[in-house]
Amino acid sequence: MIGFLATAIILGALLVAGWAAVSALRRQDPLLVAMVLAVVTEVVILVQAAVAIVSSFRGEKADAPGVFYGYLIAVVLLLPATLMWARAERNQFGSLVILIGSLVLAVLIVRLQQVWGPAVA
Amino acid sequence: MPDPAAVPVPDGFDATHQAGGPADDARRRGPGRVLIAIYATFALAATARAAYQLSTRFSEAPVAYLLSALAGLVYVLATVALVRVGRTWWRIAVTAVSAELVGVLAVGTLSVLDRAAFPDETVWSVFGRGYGFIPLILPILGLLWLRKTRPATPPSPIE
Repeated sequence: MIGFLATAIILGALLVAGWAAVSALRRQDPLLVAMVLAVVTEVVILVQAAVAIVSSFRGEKADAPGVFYGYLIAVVLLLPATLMWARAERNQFGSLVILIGSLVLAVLIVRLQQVWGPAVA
Repeated sequence: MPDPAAVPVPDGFDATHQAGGPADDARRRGPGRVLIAIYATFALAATARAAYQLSTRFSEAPVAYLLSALAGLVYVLATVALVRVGRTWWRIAVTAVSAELVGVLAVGTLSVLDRAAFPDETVWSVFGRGYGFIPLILPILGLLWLRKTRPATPPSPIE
């Protein structure tokens, strides 16, 4: 795990959440801005995942690898799944789905860091 | 968050959606889509947690961990039933969400009365405190939503 990447992902997730919340309040479809933010966030997630996998091959393992990879898979798939599910509802409810998904992502990243153990900066 | 009651779901909801006619998929439209997203999150969280507990520490508290697994299965069933179209799935959804309400009330009460039986937090411990009490509110919202989207007509032959 790289600390600043995790921070960047949480920041990205909160930006998506904030935008989705505003869109939901305005009863709007959030998709364009939220989509761009989400794609950027997802790219950072993939970098983070790659770094975690490479460093675990170098012997730098999480305390409980099974749990760590469980969370990692969930983190990688969450935003794409959220956007696909939200896409069918182009109104405030789609925004709410994205709001929930991005908040869950932020929580999962915090858990992922805890599961990894001592911070590796 | 807009008040869901202020946003009624029209009866002929969206003609552009092709599967089985407008009324059939009312359950996963509008607020239902948000509800299903939360259910899917809990289905995943509860199932993953139970799988981990059962595979690593089953002997410590078999009853609590089996209840944890049951919670996971109930969430999975509720999620699938809410997504699927038709009267049969509507009944299954009502059953699953009712079981969820009974479960969170029963496990919540037990975990308050006898903390020793639940050494590890489960999704339903202390009425879902570890998850912001969402597990307690979710089945109530679920039942309200299912009442609102109760299928009025007999199943079509295509279903």
